[in-house]
Amino acid sequence: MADTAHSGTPARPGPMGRMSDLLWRRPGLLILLLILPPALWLGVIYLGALFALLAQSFFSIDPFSGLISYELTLSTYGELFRASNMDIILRTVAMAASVTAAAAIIGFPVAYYAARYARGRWKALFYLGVMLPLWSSYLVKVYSWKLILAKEGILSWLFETLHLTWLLEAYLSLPVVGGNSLSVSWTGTFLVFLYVWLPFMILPIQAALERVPRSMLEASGDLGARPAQTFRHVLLPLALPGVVAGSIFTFSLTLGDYIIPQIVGTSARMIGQAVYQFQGTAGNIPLAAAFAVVPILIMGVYLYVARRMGAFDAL
Amino acid sequence: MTTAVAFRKVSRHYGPVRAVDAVNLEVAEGEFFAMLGPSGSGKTTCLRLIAGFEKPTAGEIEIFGKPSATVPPYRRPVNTVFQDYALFPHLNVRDNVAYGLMIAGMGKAERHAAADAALEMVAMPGYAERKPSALSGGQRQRVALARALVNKPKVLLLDEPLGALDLKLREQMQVELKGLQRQLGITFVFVTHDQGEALSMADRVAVFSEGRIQQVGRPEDIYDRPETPFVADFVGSSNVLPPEMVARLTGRKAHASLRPEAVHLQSEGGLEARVTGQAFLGAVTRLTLDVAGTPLSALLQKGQPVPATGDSVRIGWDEDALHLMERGNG
Amino acid sequence: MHSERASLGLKIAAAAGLLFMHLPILLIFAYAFTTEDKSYQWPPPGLTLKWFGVTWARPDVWEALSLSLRVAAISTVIALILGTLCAAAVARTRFFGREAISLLVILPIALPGIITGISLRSAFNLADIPFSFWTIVLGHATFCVVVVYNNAVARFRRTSGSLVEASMDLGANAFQTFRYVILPNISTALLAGGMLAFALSFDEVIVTTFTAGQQQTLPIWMLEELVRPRQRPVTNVVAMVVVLVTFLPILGAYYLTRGTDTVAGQGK
Repeated sequence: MADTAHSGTPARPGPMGRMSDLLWRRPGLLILLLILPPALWLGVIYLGALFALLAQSFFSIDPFSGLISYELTLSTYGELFRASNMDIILRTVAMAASVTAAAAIIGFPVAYYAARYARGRWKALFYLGVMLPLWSSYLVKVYSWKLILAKEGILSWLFETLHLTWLLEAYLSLPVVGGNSLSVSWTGTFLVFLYVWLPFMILPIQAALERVPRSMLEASGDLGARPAQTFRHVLLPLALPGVVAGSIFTFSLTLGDYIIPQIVGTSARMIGQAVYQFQGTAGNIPLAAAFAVVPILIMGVYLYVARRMGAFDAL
Repeated sequence: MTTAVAFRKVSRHYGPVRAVDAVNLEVAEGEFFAMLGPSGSGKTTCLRLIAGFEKPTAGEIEIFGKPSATVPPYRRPVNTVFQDYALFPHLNVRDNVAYGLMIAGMGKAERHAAADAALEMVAMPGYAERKPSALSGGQRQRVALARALVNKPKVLLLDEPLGALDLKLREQMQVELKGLQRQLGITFVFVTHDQGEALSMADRVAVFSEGRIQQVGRPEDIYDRPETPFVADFVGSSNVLPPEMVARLTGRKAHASLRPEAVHLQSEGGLEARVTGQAFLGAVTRLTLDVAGTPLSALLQKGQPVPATGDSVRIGWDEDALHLMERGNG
Repeated sequence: MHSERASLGLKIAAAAGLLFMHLPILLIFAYAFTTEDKSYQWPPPGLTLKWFGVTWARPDVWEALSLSLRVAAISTVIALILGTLCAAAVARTRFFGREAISLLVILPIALPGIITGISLRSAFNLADIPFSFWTIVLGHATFCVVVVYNNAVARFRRTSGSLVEASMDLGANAFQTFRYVILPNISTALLAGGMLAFALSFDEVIVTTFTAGQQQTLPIWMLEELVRPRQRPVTNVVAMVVVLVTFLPILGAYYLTRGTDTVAGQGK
């Protein structure tokens, strides 16, 4: 094969050349070589660990010795249905759902403005305005809310300055959402979640809106639709996959988080905290594993529905 | 004469799709060879098979007598001008042109001189420092040509190189390319879907349809004596008469082609036809006719009276204008 | 809607949304200068620079910072290699299991971090691997791959496939083509992906709590301070520095990929 010399190239290929020839003749080999290292890393280390965890959920903990009994059983999953554990799951799902809804409502105008109206410098500003909070430190963001929500913090000060302290106190005396102060209330947890995950909602919506060609909106107007009708019948349906894509992030991230409710929130636990405590202080790895399966299942269903709605094109 | 490229029963299948189906073909050294066909007819795949970007599912391709099955693209004595030009966006024009020489190990000063000479040849001196993104479509095309030619390939492959250019530039480049090929004496294999381009530039033309070659021959032969209804229709839009009609006219049952410019109106004799439409094309007017259910078109020279739609007319043609296609449609 | 002008309501809603995302971070800057060291009192009773000096003299902060930087550097290098390989395979060719591979890359960030963390921890336990620098890197590299992958795969798709063919056509073998054509064309995407991977690793806390054992990365140090505050002003200063330090790679990544691919939805 080496004798078909290209004008100018040396007739005898070196080892690299021969290797390259082999890769040309066997394109499958090239792909195999490319894919092998990442597939091994993710397949063995990550999936291996994931399956190790899942396997543990089918074991149980011996109630007397406190040791793990390595017999396959579904009893650990049965424990999930105890009232206190169901509470944790329902509470978490309710929080994830309300955070997702609020993020969609607050995020949509930002994404809409950035996609439709912002041009040039403003566009870049909007883009960075979403990217910077998205990528800045998670813990710092949580911390900043601890400062804001603290009893002596800026929010209390604001209410006091406006002579509205009575309003804040009235709100805090409400059941469920209220509490001793905002930083130990459900409202506080909700606000921090909303704050931290909001950029994850805006970007996919913006991407979906930007894919709507201007001519399509003009066509709608041309066909007699008023702007509000165009928004309702053309833009909103086309933006929906973006909203669903964003909701995948906000929902999944809220389901699994254990740090935010630990720092800002009540003593009632969420799934992430339960997993953390069961595997840590309680030493009940099987129950922790079973709890960890819950968000996986919920997200599995969620992703399936989202896929049917075409949300993955907007990622 | 040496054979530059030979296809021996070459097929390229993608699953059930036969992009190229048992093609036999020989391109002579120094020839300007055109592969003509509609999109999806297999002509570009044939070009990519020669370059080595695709491998035949069956059959063998020889380049200057040597089987090429195990020869990767970078060891073939061919270079390609890509349809999208494929200029390297990170290199300036000079480094683009010198790329092949750089890979071959030529020194910097030497290869830059060679690149500048090649740019001069394609009438692009003074553009060496620019990035490809700062060039127009026609300029990119010239750089792509220089980049291929500077390596002195034995065969130059051109994949619809003029497709993205506007009409005027395209006509100019047709003349230049033909001149360049004569001057350098390199074998050109040229893929196009434009029959006018193929006929005006090539020494020989292969007409492709559905992965097969319908006809290979000199442009005049392809134009005047199409062997299949497809060729007659695709190359210059001949009228194709169905076998039943041809049997009534000549007594032999076969498809026949009839060039529209050979059809004329006459006052008596011939066939009766009804005018279904007319289109003014400048020097000529195209009449569309209906002859007992068979659509037919005729070209009228400027100055002739043009009948109105719905008129009944009589048409005729010279005896030898009717060309029988015994092969049928391959 | 045809007009280029947005309604006032929309403008206000968009501006309010942006402010909501930025004001809390800015607040950190004010707190770094407060003279109050026992509570989160607002407004600060006075301003001082003394906490910067105090923080500078704290060895635990330096150790945590150093560990975080080293982990982020090594994880980024691993993620760059794995992510580029994966993107090259997935973007250029169709092969059996292609979809599965892209799912596998995304999974570590698609699933809640606590699941990745607890999985790795129980795997380390099962395999009797003691916690070390490398157990942290293992976790970080796993979820950083996707950031590099997303950037690289977008650039590979945008880079015309005929460039590779053109290079081979001009006599370059596979390695020369990689060196002279592919690498220069994807380098800015890789740099951007690497910067984001670095920022992601530098900031990660959830997975790290499960893979670090007794070691403290900077986020772990901060988490400790949040749960059991020792010296609040030092935390304030560290938080401000972290904000400033992570802004740089993000801005860098933005300018590198501006007008080409989008770094959006890189899902952290």
